Amino acid sequence: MTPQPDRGARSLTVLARVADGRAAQLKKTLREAGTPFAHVPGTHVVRLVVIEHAVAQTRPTVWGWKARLLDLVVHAGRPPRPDRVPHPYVLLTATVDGPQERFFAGMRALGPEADGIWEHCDGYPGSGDEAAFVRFFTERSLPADYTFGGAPEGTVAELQNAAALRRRLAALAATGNGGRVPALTTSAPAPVPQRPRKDVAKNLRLADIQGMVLRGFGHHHAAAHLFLRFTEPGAARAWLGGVAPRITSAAEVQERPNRALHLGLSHSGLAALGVAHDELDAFPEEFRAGMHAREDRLSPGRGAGSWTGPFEAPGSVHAVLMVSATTPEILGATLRELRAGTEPGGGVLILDEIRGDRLVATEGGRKTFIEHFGFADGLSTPLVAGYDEGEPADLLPPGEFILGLPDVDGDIAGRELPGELSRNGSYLVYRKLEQDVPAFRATTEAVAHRFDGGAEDVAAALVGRRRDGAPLDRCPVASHVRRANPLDTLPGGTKLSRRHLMLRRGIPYGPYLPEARPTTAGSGVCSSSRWSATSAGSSSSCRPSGWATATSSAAAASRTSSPPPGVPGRGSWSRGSHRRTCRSRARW
Amino acid sequence: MTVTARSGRSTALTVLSPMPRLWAGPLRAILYVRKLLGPARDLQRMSFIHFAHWSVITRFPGQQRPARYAYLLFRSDFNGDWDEYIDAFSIVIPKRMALIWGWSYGYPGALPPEPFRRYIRRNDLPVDHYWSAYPESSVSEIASALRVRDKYREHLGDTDPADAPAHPAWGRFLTDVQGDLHAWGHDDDTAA
Repeated sequence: MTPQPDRGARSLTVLARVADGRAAQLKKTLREAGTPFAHVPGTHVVRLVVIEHAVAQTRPTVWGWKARLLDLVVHAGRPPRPDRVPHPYVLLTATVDGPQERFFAGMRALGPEADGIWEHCDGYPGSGDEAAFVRFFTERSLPADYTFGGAPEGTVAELQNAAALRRRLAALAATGNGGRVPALTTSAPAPVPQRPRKDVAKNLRLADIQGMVLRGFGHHHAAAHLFLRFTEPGAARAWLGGVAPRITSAAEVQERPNRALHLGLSHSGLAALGVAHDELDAFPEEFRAGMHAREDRLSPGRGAGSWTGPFEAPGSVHAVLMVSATTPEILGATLRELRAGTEPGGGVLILDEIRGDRLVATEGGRKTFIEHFGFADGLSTPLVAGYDEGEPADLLPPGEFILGLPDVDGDIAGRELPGELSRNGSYLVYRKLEQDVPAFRATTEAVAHRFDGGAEDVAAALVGRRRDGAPLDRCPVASHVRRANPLDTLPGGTKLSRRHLMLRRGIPYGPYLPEARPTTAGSGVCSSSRWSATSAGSSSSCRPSGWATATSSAAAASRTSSPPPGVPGRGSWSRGSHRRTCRSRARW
Repeated sequence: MTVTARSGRSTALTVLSPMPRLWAGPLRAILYVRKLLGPARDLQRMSFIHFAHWSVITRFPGQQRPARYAYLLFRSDFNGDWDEYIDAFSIVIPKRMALIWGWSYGYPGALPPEPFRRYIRRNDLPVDHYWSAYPESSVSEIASALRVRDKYREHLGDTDPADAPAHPAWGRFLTDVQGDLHAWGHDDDTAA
């Protein structure tokens, strides 16, 4: 008998032996079956699996000492012997309301549909005789040793009705009698910039870490990003050898250099430089495949269709050189020197170049950097333990951003990677975004009459901050800042969000759209901003939009409140030419 | 990679992992104790698991002799991304996972997460048929829906939803449940 699980619904499992030679036919039947279980009352979920073979077990290649110890104790270090299930079985497992016999009896009502499935099994009596039919399943059912239900208790009908009622009420509320949103309030001040510690932790080898990993270059007003392709490994290595000493390290950041140079290499770039296959294969799938190949998953419904050159094909860009300087003149001089090294036949080809400039707003005599929607930019970025000043709870272990150092799991980030290539490196996500400023303004205007604070409050609610950066007291869960850092609203809580935080560095491109311009959407004037992020540690951090497009269980967002600046979103404001690739800066 | 079955927002994970028969008893005892302790709070807080089920199999139904190995059958229905689910498990309850899967061959430990993800992915059985009664509702949405329903009864009683916006209590009701009403889910799901 299936024991009582810890809530009203029960879990049942039936393993029926499939007659010899019938497994393939049964699989085909199951895959082509419609939705027969919709007609079996009280079924929450049900699945059918034809088990022909046991999965071959191997010992892990990468494991910590604890797992090794466990293996020694449990298996005395013995590997598994080859294993086969004695016969093919069909596994029926379901969560149902009420006793399992009632479910089996309900299944009998399927008649020919049930027969079509179980006639492939030994000893199936057919659906004609209820007692025999129910006995067939009861005899083959396995007890559950432990079950867990995460959703609140309720029968199938109750849950379905409640969901329908909620949908209906939500629609009524959205179009309803025009309830007003009271003025939004802020009490906390805008975040202060990070300060480095006086004594940097010894395990941070600053001279070997690129500067932008630990600090943004706020005093740099001009930037150019060059996208490179290597055409000949030997020459490209020689060129890289010449550039490497000029790359800005974290040790130089405090001196506020008037120019900075940062380098990222893609997986295809490492391959083009002649890195050995086994080393290339050690990198995680996210980095190996690149974001072009994975964009359909990262940005569902949009994909990489809107990406423009040179990112229109996976692996087409081998490296990105990010140059920034305090003034356009210094930037120009630096670029001239760099270009001199990339003559034809030199093994390195410049595919494209993008320029960026700071947008400056002057308010009350104080200058702030803003992005195209008019919000203060460059706020709130995670703090790195050993480098930044901060409360212990706010500091993240350096391995979250720098490979080869301890991460939040207590593991060494990138343990499985080739050390020489990855140590003190970091994963970099490069993403160019377009912000549809007219659409943003038109939307905020359109709903402004519902807000006591007017259009300013609409914009603040979307972002989660005032324009000066002050956080809202009741930050909407679908707002931009919350999506970038969901705090404890995600499954796994703060612990899990800490594993996924990224450092963000960005600079806007394109001119600021003056307020006076007509704000009709689609006027063809779109301002844009560029965004790049670094994150090291685990490759899992390297998929930001898993959150930002967001809608897993907890941080679900409404269609009308998609994220504005700089976040890869589903909303209408950040559509357009997303270009992105994921790369690592390696050590040379 | 094996096929993971989906029905709307619900994803199925089915893992059958062999272990030495010797450990079937201890594992059953652990699961029994777990059952006595009641539903795990931290798992409930993760709020994206519809159902999870563990069975220790020492003899397949109809088999005369016991199998060479015992098997741990785990099935789960959850909403959201596969990776997110495995990640959350490995970070929230690594020790408990070792207690439950540590007996199985090839278990690499819950942390670091990457080998663990590979292990689960390799052992996830392809599902041939999958059906969910409320494919578009996540666990937290179900919880929200039930709260909305209860609040609706409390504020508006038996009022027909069509007349609700005209009801004097409508404003109070909305203020009360706005957090539960706003979470719409995926853009493509709201078309319904």
